[in-house]
Amino acid sequence: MGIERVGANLCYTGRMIKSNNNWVVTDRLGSVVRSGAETLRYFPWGEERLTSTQNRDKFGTYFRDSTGLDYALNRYYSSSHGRFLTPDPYVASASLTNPQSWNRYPYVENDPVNKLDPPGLAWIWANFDSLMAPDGSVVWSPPAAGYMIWPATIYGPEGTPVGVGSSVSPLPPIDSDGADRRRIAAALRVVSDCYWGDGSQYTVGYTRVITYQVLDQDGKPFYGSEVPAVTESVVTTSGPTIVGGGVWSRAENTIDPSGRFTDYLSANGNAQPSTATQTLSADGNALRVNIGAGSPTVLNNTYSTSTVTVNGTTSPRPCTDKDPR
Amino acid sequence: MRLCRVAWFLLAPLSLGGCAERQFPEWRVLPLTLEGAWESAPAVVIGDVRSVAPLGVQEIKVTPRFVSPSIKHIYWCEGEFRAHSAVKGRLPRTGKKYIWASVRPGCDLYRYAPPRDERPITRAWFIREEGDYVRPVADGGSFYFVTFYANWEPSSDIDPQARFARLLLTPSARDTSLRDFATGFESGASTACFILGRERCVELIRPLAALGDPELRRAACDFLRLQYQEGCAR
Repeated sequence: MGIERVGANLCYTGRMIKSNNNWVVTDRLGSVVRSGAETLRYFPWGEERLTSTQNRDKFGTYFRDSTGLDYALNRYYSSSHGRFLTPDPYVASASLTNPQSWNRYPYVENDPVNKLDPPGLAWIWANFDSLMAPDGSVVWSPPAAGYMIWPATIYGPEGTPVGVGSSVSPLPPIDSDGADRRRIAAALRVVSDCYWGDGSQYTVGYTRVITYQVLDQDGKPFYGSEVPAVTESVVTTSGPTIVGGGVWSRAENTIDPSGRFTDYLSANGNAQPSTATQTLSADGNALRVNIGAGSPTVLNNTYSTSTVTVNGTTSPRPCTDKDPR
Repeated sequence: MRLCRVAWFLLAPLSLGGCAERQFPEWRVLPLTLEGAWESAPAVVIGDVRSVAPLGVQEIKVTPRFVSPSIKHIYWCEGEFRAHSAVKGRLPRTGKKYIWASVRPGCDLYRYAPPRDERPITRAWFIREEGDYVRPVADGGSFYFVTFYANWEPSSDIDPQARFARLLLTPSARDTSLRDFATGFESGASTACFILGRERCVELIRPLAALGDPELRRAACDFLRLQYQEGCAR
């Protein structure tokens, strides 16, 4: 399943990514939570927290018309009442063993946080990994478990770009109030920054030792099992090659339980200086690094026998026996 | 330079004569924070390494992960490991040798230690055991030990982990000035909090902010605010 055009919308692996000429982000219920620069928020039954333009896709994969009703392919849903306006025409969606299903008007058996009903006929589970029918069969699987689509470049089957489209990142969970609460690694805070003038125990010559802490989109640290792995990408842009590309992970404790990890930067004895770009990523996102000006996601570094600069900064102090070596 | 390879299983009793067919143990490099070293080390013990001596030079043919490709040789060293108290895990059996590898010759374990003064010194070592040997949790990228300027009485009734954590949060046990203590505050504080838990840790950190040094106050308050969303005042 690739990119499909469904009416005026563009979908990728079953998920809407473009509506009314705006790139959109949907949550795990299929509700549009971002459309262009606009953010949309809903109460659990789909009422909008703030009024916005109608006649477009909004809650639970539905098209909301100018009267505020949601079109669910087979019938209309009223988010202000939290129920369909007509009975469920799909006979098989009723089950003798499930009294909730005998009432033919309610929306998703009154569980709008965990279920959705795109056709207006039978609800399906919305979990982090896939959309599942009540019988447990998988209706839709994302490209990777627990991921959602974000705007980026889309490539066709031949590997050629077919336009700005989507990339994947973790699905946001939805709280009982319908708001996204997924914490995503977004930034790195500098915990300490020092240098060994004569190398560490595995580098040669001047070595800058920076300890970072991973923060989420609200600037809060992660703890324990929620700490993501951080992947480094280093591209040498001039001079001798700078070796990089490590992964810090909880599995081997190279990220500690509070999400801190240490990066060693060195020219490794090369007499000729080098320049390189460095990117640190987690959860598929390039992390903003709070060092120097601008909190960039791509650091422009220089490496020489006497110093290492990171985004224009030099290390403020020599390391001591209280720093890792 | 004479290079030789020493069999790990033949290290005791060690003989470097005719060592051509022998091998060194794995050189372990892991970038670990102090908290990561605490978590990774099977044992953390109070003691010291004495009678340090070079063991041999190893040629690096395949560069391990994380390691600079410029490093072609590492220097193995050994010493007598004497530990009297276990903070975490158990004490190694008496008489085991401490073996580690360094990228520079000299076997100087205490090279970067601050100058000695009249204060007593206690060192807590992050160790693992391999056969008949005691080794650092990682040869490179981590901490071999932390130094406290305080006595450690082996017979104390205080829980050793709580004692270790409290020392990490005691300025006089870690540094010569509050300003220096502030510089490395977060590393020690996060490790102490990992051990003590949030409530006790916050109780111990709050008074540090009131000691009168503005840098320490900033470090302590920032730590409480960012890590625990707590203020410096009750």
